[in-house]
Amino acid sequence: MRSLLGHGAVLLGFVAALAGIASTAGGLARRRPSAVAAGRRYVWLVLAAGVLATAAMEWAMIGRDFSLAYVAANDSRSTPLLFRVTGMWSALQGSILLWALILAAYLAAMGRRFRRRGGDPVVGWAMVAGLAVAAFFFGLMLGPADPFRHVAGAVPTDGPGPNPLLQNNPLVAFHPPLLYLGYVGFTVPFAFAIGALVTGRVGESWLVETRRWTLLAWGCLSAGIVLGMWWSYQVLGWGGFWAWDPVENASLLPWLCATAYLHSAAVQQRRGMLRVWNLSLLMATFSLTILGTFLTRSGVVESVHSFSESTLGPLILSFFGLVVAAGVGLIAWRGDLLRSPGAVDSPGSREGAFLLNNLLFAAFAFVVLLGTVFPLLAQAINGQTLAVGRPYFDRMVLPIALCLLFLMAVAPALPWRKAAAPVVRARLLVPAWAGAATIAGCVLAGVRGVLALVAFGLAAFAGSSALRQLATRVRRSGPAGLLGRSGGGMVVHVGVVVLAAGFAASSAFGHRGELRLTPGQSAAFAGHSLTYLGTRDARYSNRTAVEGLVTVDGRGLPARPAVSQFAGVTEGIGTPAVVSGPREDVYLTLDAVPSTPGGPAVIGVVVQPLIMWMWVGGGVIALGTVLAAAPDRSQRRRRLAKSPADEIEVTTDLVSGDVEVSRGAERSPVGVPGP
Amino acid sequence: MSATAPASVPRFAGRGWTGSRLPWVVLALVVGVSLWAGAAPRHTPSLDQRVRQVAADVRCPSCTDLTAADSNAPTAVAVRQTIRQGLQQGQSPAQIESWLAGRYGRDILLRPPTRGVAGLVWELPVAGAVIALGALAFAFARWRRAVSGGDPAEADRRLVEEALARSGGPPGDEP
Repeated sequence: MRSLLGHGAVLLGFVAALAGIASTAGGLARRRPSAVAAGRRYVWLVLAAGVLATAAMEWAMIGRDFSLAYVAANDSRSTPLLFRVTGMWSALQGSILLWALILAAYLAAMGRRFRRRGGDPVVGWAMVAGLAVAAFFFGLMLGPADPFRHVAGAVPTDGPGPNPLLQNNPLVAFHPPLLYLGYVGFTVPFAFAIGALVTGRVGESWLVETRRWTLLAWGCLSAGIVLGMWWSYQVLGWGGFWAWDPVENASLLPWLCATAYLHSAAVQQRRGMLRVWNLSLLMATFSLTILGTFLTRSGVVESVHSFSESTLGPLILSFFGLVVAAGVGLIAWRGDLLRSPGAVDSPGSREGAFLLNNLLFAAFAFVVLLGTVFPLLAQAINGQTLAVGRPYFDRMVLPIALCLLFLMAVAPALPWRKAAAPVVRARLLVPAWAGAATIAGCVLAGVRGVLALVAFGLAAFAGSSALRQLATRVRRSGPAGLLGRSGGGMVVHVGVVVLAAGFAASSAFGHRGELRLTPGQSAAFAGHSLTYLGTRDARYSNRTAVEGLVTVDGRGLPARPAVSQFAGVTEGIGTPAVVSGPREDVYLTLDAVPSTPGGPAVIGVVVQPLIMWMWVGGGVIALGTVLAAAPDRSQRRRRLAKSPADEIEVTTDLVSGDVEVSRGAERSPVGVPGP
Repeated sequence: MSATAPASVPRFAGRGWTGSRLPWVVLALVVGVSLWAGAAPRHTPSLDQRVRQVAADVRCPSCTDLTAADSNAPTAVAVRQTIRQGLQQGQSPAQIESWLAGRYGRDILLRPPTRGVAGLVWELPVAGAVIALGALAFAFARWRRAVSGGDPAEADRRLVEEALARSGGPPGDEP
């Protein structure tokens, strides 16, 4: 019954997507706006199909319908309700279903948002592109990634449940959906870029119209990545949060491209330049989400996230190739229209800084991509098996990250067009001194290590530069100064700086060790006193656990690092306990349970300073994204503009006295190709 | 300094503390001295720390993607023990690593080799960065030539005048 409903829904989604494509494309070809607008209605069918299929899957998971192969492999009688619900995305087929559902929701939202412009060819072609992606994902579920397949042979009475790591922490309910909201969300700006290229209306309008969609996707992806770090920190038991695992890299790659795009889009919006570059970045962002799916789901790379392997690889790789070919082909085809008239007057201007920013992000992404796929390449070239791991990424990425921090400090102080050096110096003086004072203060407080000191100094420099910018805006226009691209963007910068400081401190000054303690015994470790009280056995619905009781600094309830035994898994799974604080975290694992009752236990200890601030920084980034999506004053002013004279925007910077004139000709009129 | 400052510079920038170069010289000095003082490690690294440094470049044999320094799996503990013995016998980290590579296979080492085909993983990003920087410099040079074609301030003024003429008065006149 559930299998029938699920299969029917998936088929409906696939057919509806194809029908939508046919109807919209047919209308576009025959230049009949009414037919184009009618194609939009199919997205509601696709959404209904996604919701139905998801409901069928959740019904089966919650109702423990072991006749479905997916449920039999990822559910069990002892799995608690929360992890039965989240079990839908704990393996391949269900993740594809989640992807399809989210994509359908985005497409429906897109259809609704642009309902008054249903006949517009750009919107029409964007719809076609979006529906084509939907057809691909629904098609996967019809064939190799069928979530509703019946079990072969007799129906089992129980299953193994989700992978233990996926039923150990409630963050499983948030991290994957947020990440997918991010990945899938880039389909919307991608689809509009395709629409703009196909119709030849490659001006700034598609970019402006998809700005908030991009921000939404970017914010979700950022929050999803930080939540993933937090989750892996709390679950994996080694005290770290980022291992340069291929799947982690796969999520970082689109984030890097999208971040570069958010910055260079500002240049295009303001000056009408970098059109080819922006389109390429969007194509790269979207195709890297597909490549990420390939890397994670095909089993070609070994990863802690490879929760299942399958034969999907070639299909996804072909789709990736198709997307890249379509993107490159369309950009090449429209090359003439994409040439933009403007010029960047000076490297020392805001747009010059954005260019440098893009260069750094591109280099960052290249290093991550190369390091991730290089073992495969080396194997293919000369059969060499080698690993590219943490030492490589740390060495290559660190200089780029430090340069980005520096740029983050300087760029907000640079005016558009051309910078007068004394003005920039005046704007940067206080932030630069904040950075210098931080370095000096850290040295006086006994912090050693050039790299960490430089990182702290640059973080303080960038942070105070962003705060200075925010203070100026708030002084000028009250709390509204926090809104819009500049306001929200600076809040995001503050979040990134907080995260970077936490990252630098925890990776440079962590301590790790193991203590062998008998019950009642205390030991000192990295300035903390740890007392081991003994162990106790605990029973939960999905696991049994041996918990060690350890008090940290004699305060509060004892922390309970544990070794858990899940049904159907022979190996014990470590469950760490974290005592968090603003100064530092004490992270405890039970490395060896006592072999005899009352015997000694081995407690693993990791002490990491300031690591909590990474999660706080992630929250600030999310907040800043929301603020950035709000319309700011200048946008409202522009919307009020009626006469062509208002196309010329004269902005006076009250602090520096700069007068900037943006010319209508350079912000080429929306929807019309530049001269 | 203030004598050469262009006319568009705001009033305060030309004089006093914020306008002069002095605070930047002092700042550079403070940063330089602090970094110099902060560079020296307070202790020579202990054996434990050296073991950890070497182990950070070695994969934990039984884990998916953790280093032997980060994992407490028995195999990682064994690798750390091997490294400790090697260091105690006076072997260099490179000698220990090549022994480990012989014992567990080349992909136990997380730092790819710098020579041969594998060296590309180090060289390509650097080459790419150099080319990209060169392209950027070229683009800036071209843009500069394009911009120097006319007086931009004059062009701006003309544009403003044209637009004002079209709208029939300065923007302030509108309701």
